[in-house]
Amino acid sequence: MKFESEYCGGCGNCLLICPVQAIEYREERAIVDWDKCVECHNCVRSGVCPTEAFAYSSPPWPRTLRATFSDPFFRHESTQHLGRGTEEVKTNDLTHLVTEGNVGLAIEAGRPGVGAAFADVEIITKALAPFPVRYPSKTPIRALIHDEKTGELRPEILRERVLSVIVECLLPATHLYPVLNAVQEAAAQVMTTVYSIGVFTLAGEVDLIHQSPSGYRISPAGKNNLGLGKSMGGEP
Amino acid sequence: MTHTNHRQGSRQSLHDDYVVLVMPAKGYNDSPEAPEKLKIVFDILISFQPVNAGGINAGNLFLDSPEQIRARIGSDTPMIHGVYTDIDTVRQVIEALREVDSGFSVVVTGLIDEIAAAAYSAGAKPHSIAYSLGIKGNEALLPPPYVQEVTAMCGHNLIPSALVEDLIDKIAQGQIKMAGAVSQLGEYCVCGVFNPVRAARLLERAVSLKKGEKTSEA
Repeated sequence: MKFESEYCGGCGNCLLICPVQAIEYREERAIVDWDKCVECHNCVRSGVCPTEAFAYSSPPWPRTLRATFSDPFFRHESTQHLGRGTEEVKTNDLTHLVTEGNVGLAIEAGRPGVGAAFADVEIITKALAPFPVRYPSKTPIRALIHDEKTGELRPEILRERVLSVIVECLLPATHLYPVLNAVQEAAAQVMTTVYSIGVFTLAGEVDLIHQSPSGYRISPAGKNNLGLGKSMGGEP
Repeated sequence: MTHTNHRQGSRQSLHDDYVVLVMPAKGYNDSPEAPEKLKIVFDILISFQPVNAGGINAGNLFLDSPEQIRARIGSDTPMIHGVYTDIDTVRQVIEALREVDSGFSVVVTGLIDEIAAAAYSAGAKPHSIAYSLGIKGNEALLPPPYVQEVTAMCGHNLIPSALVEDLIDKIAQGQIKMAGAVSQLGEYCVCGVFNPVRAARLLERAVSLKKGEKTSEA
């Protein structure tokens, strides 16, 4: 995103529409905190600026990651998907990513609405590293992991901030709560953001989730894949 | 695995919040004909009068007409949605989607047990379920729950909490009507999964809280 401050008329309309409060008001002008800005482009798309001071831009790597994770209109090079994750439970009736006795885990750093640096994300990937987790090939985070044995991310991206990042992986159900506890323990020390936890299973295996220890509240609402998908010839 | 998975609130608060999502699977049925089939599916979703609908690169009902959204559905539209406020309509939508037999995956977000019952009644059988296990980390950074319940209805986190707070104040002061406030918020949810009916109820409750009035759960 670029902000041409000389066009700013000082109306302040933009202050309310930044999800991470990266726009401040000083001396009757809007000021963008470029470190906080996650390139979601709400300011551009909303059209709230009467002088059109906000516009799209083409930042260099690794800042490009901000838009690919924060703006759902930007496509991930690694997955060719729009947004932060993959098809996961949405097409599990065809892809069979999650099978009997296993769960899909999606830890979304920065959600809801706080934003996260990749340094926060690395706290999660490092905590996952000792466990038998598998990152499906089409998850955006997989392309950013420098070393799966340690969970270290590519060092040049750690300071980049995004609206949220989904750390999406598969693991045996027996490891689910030990993994979540390990992440929580690691996060308690240093994490500067929040994370939302999503878990998916086959519909007949709800017991795997409901063996929940205290501290994890399972929402009565969730996403239900109704098994209506049909392959139109061969699997990829 | 998130998108609509982390809508917040109690069972009572979520009773009128169902999102039906239809999605081709890459490599399985995302054929060149998929966009045309997705348009037929979209016609079905619209025929049941959703309170919102749309998809990435197609639009949403706060910014566009159903005809405009339909016309934009193309190979760069990964999925489409319809938002409904009662489970019986959802059951009818599932029945209609079964009949049209697009082959695309159908996912319904909302109260899990209600959806399972509706699915079985409509002749479908849930295959897999995504659960939300809550929020951890530095929770001091979160806005108040009455704001989160509204913002969480955009899975991409694009509804700003500051805007929700501002609109609550403006509604309380009579500076904007509820319909206008809800419409403003709906524009930010680019996929069309924001539920304006539930949002209005949540905002009304938030306004009452601001005014110091006694409220029941929204």
